[in-house]
Amino acid sequence: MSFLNVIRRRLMFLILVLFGVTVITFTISNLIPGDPARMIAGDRATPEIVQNIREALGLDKPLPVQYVRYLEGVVQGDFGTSIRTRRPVLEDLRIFFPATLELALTALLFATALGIPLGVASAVWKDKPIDHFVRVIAVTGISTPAFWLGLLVILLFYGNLGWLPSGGRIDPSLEMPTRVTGFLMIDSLLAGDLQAFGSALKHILLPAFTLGFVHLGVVARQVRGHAGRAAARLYPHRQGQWPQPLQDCLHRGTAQRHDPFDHCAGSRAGRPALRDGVDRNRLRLAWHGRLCGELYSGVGFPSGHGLHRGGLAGLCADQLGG
Amino acid sequence: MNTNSVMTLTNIHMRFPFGEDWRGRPRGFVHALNGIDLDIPRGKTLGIVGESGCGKSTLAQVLMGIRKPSEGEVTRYFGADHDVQIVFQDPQSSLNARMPVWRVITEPVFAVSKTPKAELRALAAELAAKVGLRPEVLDRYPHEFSGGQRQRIAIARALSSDPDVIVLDEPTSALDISIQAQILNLLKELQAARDLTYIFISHDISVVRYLCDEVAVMYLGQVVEHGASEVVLAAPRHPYTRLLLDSIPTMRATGGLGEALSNTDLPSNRNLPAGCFFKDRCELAGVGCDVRQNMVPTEQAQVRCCQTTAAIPQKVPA
Amino acid sequence: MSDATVSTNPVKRALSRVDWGYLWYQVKKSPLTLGGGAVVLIVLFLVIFAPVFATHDPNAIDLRARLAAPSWDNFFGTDEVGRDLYSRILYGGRQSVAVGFFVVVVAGSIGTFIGVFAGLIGGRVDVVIMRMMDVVLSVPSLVLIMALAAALGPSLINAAIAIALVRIPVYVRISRGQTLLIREMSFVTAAETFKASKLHILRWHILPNILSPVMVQATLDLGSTILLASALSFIGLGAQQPTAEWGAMVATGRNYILDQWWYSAFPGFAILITATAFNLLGDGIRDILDPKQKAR
Repeated sequence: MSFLNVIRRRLMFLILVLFGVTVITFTISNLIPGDPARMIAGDRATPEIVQNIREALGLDKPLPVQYVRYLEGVVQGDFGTSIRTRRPVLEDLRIFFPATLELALTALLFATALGIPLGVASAVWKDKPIDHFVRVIAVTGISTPAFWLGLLVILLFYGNLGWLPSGGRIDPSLEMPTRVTGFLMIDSLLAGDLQAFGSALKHILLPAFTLGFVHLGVVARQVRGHAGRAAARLYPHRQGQWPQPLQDCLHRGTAQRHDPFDHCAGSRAGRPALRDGVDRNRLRLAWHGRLCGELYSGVGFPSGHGLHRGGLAGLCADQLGG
Repeated sequence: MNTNSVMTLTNIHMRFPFGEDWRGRPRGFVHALNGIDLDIPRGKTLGIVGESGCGKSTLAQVLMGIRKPSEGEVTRYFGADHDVQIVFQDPQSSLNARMPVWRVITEPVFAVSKTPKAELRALAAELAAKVGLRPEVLDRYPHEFSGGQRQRIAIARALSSDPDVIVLDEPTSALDISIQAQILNLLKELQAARDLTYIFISHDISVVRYLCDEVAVMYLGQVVEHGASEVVLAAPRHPYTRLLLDSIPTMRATGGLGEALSNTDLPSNRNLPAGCFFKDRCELAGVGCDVRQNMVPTEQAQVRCCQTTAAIPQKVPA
Repeated sequence: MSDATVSTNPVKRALSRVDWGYLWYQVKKSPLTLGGGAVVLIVLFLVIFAPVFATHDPNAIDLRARLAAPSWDNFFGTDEVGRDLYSRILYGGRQSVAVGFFVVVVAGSIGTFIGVFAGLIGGRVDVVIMRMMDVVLSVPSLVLIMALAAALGPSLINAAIAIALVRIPVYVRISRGQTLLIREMSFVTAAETFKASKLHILRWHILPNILSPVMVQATLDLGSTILLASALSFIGLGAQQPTAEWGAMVATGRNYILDQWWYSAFPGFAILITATAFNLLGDGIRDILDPKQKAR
């Protein structure tokens, strides 16, 4: 199938998925008990007032009609107004999303920076202690309740050591840098405010570590799998073991001392294979980034009614990537 | 029509759509069978030979009735439902690893009718003895057996519904030479004892010579030569049959027909050649080969080649 | 041949098909799997016999002993109304393990049913089912679970139902893929030649061969389900007070994290240990039963 056809199919499927997502979310939001009109009006409002609000919001119309109106709004970028913050959901997303993304990317950076070397190492020294160690880390990572690990690191680094703050994005006594990207660390650097940058960095360390740790092992295991398969493809007779020169390259950091032919086989053929593994992994990583964000926005629960829409951007990326 | 046949195939065509554009329409068709006319002689063994990709397996599926031909007709001269059975090439995947042997053997019976367990086990024991398996194997699972034993199990299964016809789809090509001989002899004994009709699909000419009464040579979804096996294999008329037979010594050395013939490629069955299908590989190709060839009955065999049949006085079709 | 060699009990028969010697050999080779399995057994034992091992009534309030530190009387300390945390963790494990098995059994059986159905029927029905599953899989699962749990109303059983609903597509995919694979095996072709019905093929060929991949997925799912259920309880969408549940205990303990660290630490540690053990076991079983999936 040609590349264009793949894209076309993916796009068509994406539209279908988005449609399905709107149906699911609309259904669920109508299943959630509680009358939005009553919630807006407050407990002491008279039935007439509640009824008026209901009519004003179109909540008295049949569900399919409501769904079409909702869909029209979504297409025009109108995600409605959050009942909790009383701001347009789009506005809420604009405020919260960069924070989510900044955290997700930082966590991702942490998970990749440690996970890829660990994964490669465990593929090269398969079934050796390092491999078992990575396996334990991976399984522990996916088995760790992130909400609990977060508490423990706060206890340690904030409570006992007092090195890092327990919450927030930046020291409240500092002035927020001018908003450019919405990423505090980048904005503060753009503003040349090193103090703000340091504070933002300190604030993001604990949550980024917590989220990163949960995904670290998964990344490592995936890299291990890809590198292992690459090895099996390139050196079928070695049963998935990397050839010795590569192990030595990694081990000693130099390959000059080895037989030139073996060296070529080990590095020139090995490198693209590794890159191939890592490239494909990047797609997976994008997905993990989305998961990080999902977890964060989910637990943070920024605005009840718009909570599902935070995932839409990630969803698009996922469809086109996967 | 003749009463000595168990089945007759008339002008069988089989096409498969392949590839899909983005709206799900097929991009083209694979022409697997292109006009097969065959009589399956009762109580005999018909060998079907040809390179891989010539449509042998598709023909087997049509014979067993699990595929309906796109065109043409299959006539069966026997009654009940399950009278064609099959023994596959690969004894690994043809036996379900999750069934004990007695279940495997009697599956054709209990698949279609509720039969008491005791009866099934008795049947299994009887058939196991017939194919030379000890009765204590019945409660084991297929993965505990060697290739030859598995093929015996597969044969016992094919026998369990008391069929008229058994399709043997390269039943010995996955086995060691010594085991091959045992299985072939077993098949011969069973045929004599039960008046079975075999359709033996193979690309091993020596095995065909040993087992088959008749041979049909297939090329690109057509039968190009059909006749008594001693005639066809001793004095082949069709240039393709000759090529096949010539390749036997090489085959021994390299281990496969495909390799022996690899100097010339089998034309694609997606776009059928105009004229004689074999023209491009044929050393005799000349005048008259630009039209589709018909099967021409000669005194001993039917041949689909104008170059070799033109000079021969034609026998009136029976 | 006597029937005595073949048990009529389907469970016994299934067990007799397992090559125990080989399994044991494989497990012995992988100490992590062995360790995971041992911890799983210990956890199950402790949880099932919680009344025996508990030192206190998990719901007995003792306001004089509020937020006590770990001691010989209260191994893991007490909570804000003086209930013994050790006993509550033992009883809380019942909730977690029960949710885990509930989700796996419900999602596994429903998902397998749908997947096998789609794989066998094929055609448009298959396409429609799989597209629906893709849609569900495309929605961020945690968000979907939270929305469903919120819609159903906060309680542990509703949280379990929400997780099960969202996990169904995973089993549909596995069982459909496996069904398509097995359908192409020549023993199924053979069955078709002797006019076996679809039901026969399902009963004798598809289901027996589909069981092990589904079981592997189920084992793997146990760990993540326990984790997910406790996360839902943590954000208030799962178990409600006064039920002892690990996630809910961590949530309440959060208020005391700086001074009474044990309140959150021990229940969370229990989640970690249990989920790790189930995941190690599942990982190991997958490697043994399904060597193809291992990085070669």
